[in-house]
Order: sequence, then C-alpha cells, then structure tokens
Amino acid sequence: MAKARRILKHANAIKNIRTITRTMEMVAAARFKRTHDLAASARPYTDHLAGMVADIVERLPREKLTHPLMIEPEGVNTLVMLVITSNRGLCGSFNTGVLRLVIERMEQLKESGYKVRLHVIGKRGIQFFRFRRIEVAREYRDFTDMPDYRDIRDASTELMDMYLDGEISDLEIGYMQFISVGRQSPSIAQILPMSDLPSVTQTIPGQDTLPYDFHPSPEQLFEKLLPVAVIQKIYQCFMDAAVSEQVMRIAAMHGATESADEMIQKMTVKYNRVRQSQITTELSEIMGGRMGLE
Amino acid sequence: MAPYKRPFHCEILTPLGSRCACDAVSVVFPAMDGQYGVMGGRTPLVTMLGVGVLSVEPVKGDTLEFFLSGGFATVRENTLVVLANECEVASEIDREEAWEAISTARAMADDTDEEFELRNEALDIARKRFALVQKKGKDRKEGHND
Repeated sequence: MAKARRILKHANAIKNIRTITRTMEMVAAARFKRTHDLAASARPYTDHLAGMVADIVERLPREKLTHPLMIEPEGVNTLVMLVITSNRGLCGSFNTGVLRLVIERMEQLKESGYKVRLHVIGKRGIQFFRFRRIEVAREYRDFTDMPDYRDIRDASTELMDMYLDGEISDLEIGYMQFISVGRQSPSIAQILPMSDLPSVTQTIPGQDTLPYDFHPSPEQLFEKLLPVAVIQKIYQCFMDAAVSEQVMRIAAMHGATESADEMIQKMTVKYNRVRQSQITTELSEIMGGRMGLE
Repeated sequence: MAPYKRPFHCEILTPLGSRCACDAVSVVFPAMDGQYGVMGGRTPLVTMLGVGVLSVEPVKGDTLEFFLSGGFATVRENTLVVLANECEVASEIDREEAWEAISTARAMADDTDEEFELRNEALDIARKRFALVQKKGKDRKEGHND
C-alpha cells in the first residue's frame, strides 16, 4: 500500500501545481486584455503623428530634412542597447529569446568596433547579465508589466539628451515584437539616429499633397515633431513587449496545465493498477489461507 | 443651421488614447502663437499647441472644455485632429491638486538655464490649470445664484 500512497501523494502535488498554472493563465489573460487595449488606444495617436511627419517631409527639400536626431555624432562609437525583459518568469521564451538575440547583436557590434553600453529593464534581464558577468550601465527596476507613458517619456528624453550631447552614437532596443496573438518575434529596433521617416504614400495611400498652412514653418515643426516621434517609437516597443509577455505567459501556462492534466491522468491509471494488484494479492492470500485450513 | 456653422469632425488624441471624437461646429484651441478658431471648411493646417483651454462646440449638446499642455494640431479634409501631450477634461480637474501643482512647480530647482526654463514652463502650466479650475468654480457659483 506504501507504493500506492506514494503515487497518490505525487498526483496530489501535480494537482496543486495545475491549480497554480491554471490561475496564472487566467491572470495573464486578464492582463493581456488590459495591455492590448492600452496598446490599441495609443495606435491612432501614433498613426496621426506619422502622418503629420510625412506631410512635412513631403514639403521640405532634401537638404532641409536634417535634424540632430538624424545625424550620427562624429568620432563617437558608443551604442546604447536598451533591453526590455520581464520582472517575472514563467513566460516561455519571452526573456531567453530577447536575451539570446541581444548577445548575438552585441558580438556583431563589438566586431564592428562599437562599445556597447547596456541599459536593462526587468529583473530577469538584470539577473541574466549579472550571472554572465556582463557589465550593465543602467538598471531599470521600476517598470511594471503595464508600462507608464510618463516613465517611458522621461527615460526616452534622457537617452535623447545623451545622444544630442554626443555621449552615444546609436540607440537600439532589444525587445519582443508583437506581430499577432499567435506570433511574437525577438527584434532589435534601431531608434537613433532616426533614419526611417514615414512618407505620405506610406501613411495615406493615394492621398495628394494638400496646400497646408504651417504655423510655425515646416522646418520648425519638423524640429519639434521628431523628438515626439522618437518617444512614440520607444513607447511602441514597450507596449509590444508588454503585450507579448502576457500572450507568451498565457501560452506557457496553458501548456503547463495541459501537461499537468496528462500527468494526473497517467498517475491515476498507475495508482489504480497498483491498488488493483494489491487487492488481487490480498485476495489470493486470503483464498490460499482458507484452502490451507480446509 | 446657419451656413457658417458647417459641421466638421473633431478628434482629441493623447498617447494614452482618444479623449474626444465628435462632430463640432467650432473649436477654439491654444496654439503657440495665440488662440486659433476652427470652423467647417477650413483650409488644411498644421500647428503647434500651446498651454490652455480647448473648447469644442459640438453639433449637439453643451460646450466641452479641455485643458491642454502642448502638442500638435492638424486640419485636413474637414477634420481637426489634436495630438495633445496631456489633456484633461476641465470639469474633472481637482482644485486641491491643481493648487498643489503650483507649489510643486515653485519648488523645482532653477540653478541652470535649462532648469530655470523647465521650472518656468511647469509653473506656467500649473498656473493656467489652476486659473481654469477657479473660473469653473466661479461659473458654477454664478449658475447656482441664477
């Protein structure tokens, strides 16, 4: 009976784990809904901002399309790699995927002669680099899985100031890009110098250029709009990472719950088999004893 | 409807989502070089926003007021889109909190030129915000007395 009891104990432990994974799946689903809604509500602002930049780009001659955020500072070869990871684990390959890609990118950059300065968001990423004894220039621990726009704006402004002061030559972000609910991919986004300006054809297909009144001049507007566009691009990366984290946690916890179900089923069959064999042994012992008495 | 009251679509967007989307007959907003008024059929416009009150006169219903602190606005194809850095519904601003914001801005450091500029900017926003709350309170009082 000792073996049957041991199996039963094991099955109960798995049942408890199953309860936890199922709960975590449900919590992640609720958080996913919130982050997804937040990301979706930011989309119209981003689209209109891109449209506005495109309208100005269309009207400015090429030689005037310059901004300090578009020009790489000369004689500087320090790149800031902002890595977005989570504070908590149990979210599948969310952290490992991003960190693996970042390490690969860092090796490429070092070969090209860049000095990489790491800025890491999330406890998982901080622990990873600490374990590998890779120096982290800045650790951000206050970002939660629901990114706050003001915090991101402040951090982005700080990074832009570093770029404008000529401290760094590039800014890249390593994060998990959210493509769809079924597809997320680790990506590196080039933020600074800003090279990919939206064009009218890209934002409003078939739209003719309209005769705008610009107040102030398009040059001045372009100068003010570009930093906002950079902040918005960084915010988009944060939102993508937040949504991806929850989607990947749902998938990971769903998989864990299913595996637990499978194990519980196997354990139950095993327990019944052991119990049955014990009963059969006991019965045959009783019958043998009775036959012996007769 | 009078011909000059041709309706147009008005949207106020912030990075956190839409604050207002309605058909309006006129909108007055603070631009960087003074108050701008927009009515239906306006020529396309791109401008920078200042700090102050944006008021929307919708086709139906009462005038809506929002407090803006910077951003951009664009008019195209009979649609006004306001991209505000921050936008609050005027009636929802808390008086105590608005007063507190002035004290916070006053307490900001002003040792360097940059800090001095930031402090002035914050103080300007806080003062205009509080002035709006005061005005709202006064309007409400006068309304009760009537």
